[in-house]
Amino acid sequence: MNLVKKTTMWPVALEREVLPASLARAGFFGKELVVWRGDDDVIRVWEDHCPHRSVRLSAGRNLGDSIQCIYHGWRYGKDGTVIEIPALNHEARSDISVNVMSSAVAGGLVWVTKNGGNCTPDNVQAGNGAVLLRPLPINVDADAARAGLQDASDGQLFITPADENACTVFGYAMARGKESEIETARRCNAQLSRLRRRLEAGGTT
Amino acid sequence: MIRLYDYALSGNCYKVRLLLRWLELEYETVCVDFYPGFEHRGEAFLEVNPLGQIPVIEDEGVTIRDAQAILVHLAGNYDKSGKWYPLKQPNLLGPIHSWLAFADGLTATCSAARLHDAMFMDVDIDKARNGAERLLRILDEHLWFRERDGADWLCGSDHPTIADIACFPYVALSEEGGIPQLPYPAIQRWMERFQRIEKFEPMAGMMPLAMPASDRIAGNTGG
Repeated sequence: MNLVKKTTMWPVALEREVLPASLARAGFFGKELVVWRGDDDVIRVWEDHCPHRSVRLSAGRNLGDSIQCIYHGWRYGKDGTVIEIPALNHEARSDISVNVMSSAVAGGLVWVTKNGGNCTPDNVQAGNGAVLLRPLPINVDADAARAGLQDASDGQLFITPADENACTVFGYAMARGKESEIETARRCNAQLSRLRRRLEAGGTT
Repeated sequence: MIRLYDYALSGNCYKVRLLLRWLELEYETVCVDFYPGFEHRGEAFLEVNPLGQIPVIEDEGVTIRDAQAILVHLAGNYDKSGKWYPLKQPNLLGPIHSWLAFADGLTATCSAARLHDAMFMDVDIDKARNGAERLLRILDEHLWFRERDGADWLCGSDHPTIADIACFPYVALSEEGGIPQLPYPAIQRWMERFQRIEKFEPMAGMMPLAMPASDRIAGNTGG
């Protein structure tokens, strides 16, 4: 298995699981992110806090052209700036913006960078027959997870730190024999779950 | 008329109110001041349910306690569509009941943590939260593979069942007990679908905004 080590970008969601009119959440280096698909079919990733009173935006609504905060109804357009403040005559305020993450879609995954650098995922080897795995949260830090997953499956794994004590494993695997996609996903999910039990119990191999 | 012994902030009472609403059944309510009145432990209520638990319903002279049993009773007797508790599809009844039992586990973990945080009850909070995490992982995994099969709900094919109603409330309220939902994307999508069921009504602590319509689920969007 190819366990990607040095990287400047990390997956935070499966592309097909970011649905229209919906808001997905992800943990990323101690931050919370909201991942959403606009009516233009583009996926955007923002920090999951309203700049107004810091309520998480993912508790609000994806209106297609904007996200509306649940608290005071502020709407943030596709570029992340405020396009409507209901209590201020519905004014727009282009000087106020959510924190927009640099993101991209590649190999069926949504990727983000840490410090705003250009997001151009180039280490994805999703070839023919590669099956996307179920994202698996693990309650150990990313380094421990990397050590514990050395011998996992025959595809590619990406480990996204959620915070200092937890991470999420994304990845692909190749079908064995005449396995269906779901059978491959089930086999690898079971294997990774076994490794997770071991890791969380304190072992590394 | 059906009489419901009810408490507004109880997820187990809420699931019964939801099904009564979806089945369009008339009922009367007896409010039990669970907190801070602790009326469920008082002499008067113990004559209704010696277990001291809500909800309870009285229907045609029969008293039924236990939220999951009440869902079975109501859907089994009054659901003309036959979809909420599909007695004519016996192959679904075993899976449905396994999720009804799972909902009891959610009461013992997610709900217990919420009672600890919000109503200051004496609960082993670490045990409750760890237990909740174990259950939510199982639920998320089940729902993820259900989506891959093109299915929206815990059991069956095209319609939610009382299994979804039984499990929804304390999952949706888990963050009130300090149990994060962030690690469970498939659960989040299932909760969104649930909130889009026609005539859905939230309870206090849940997202009150109407959800924009969507007919896509993650399992059948290609990829």
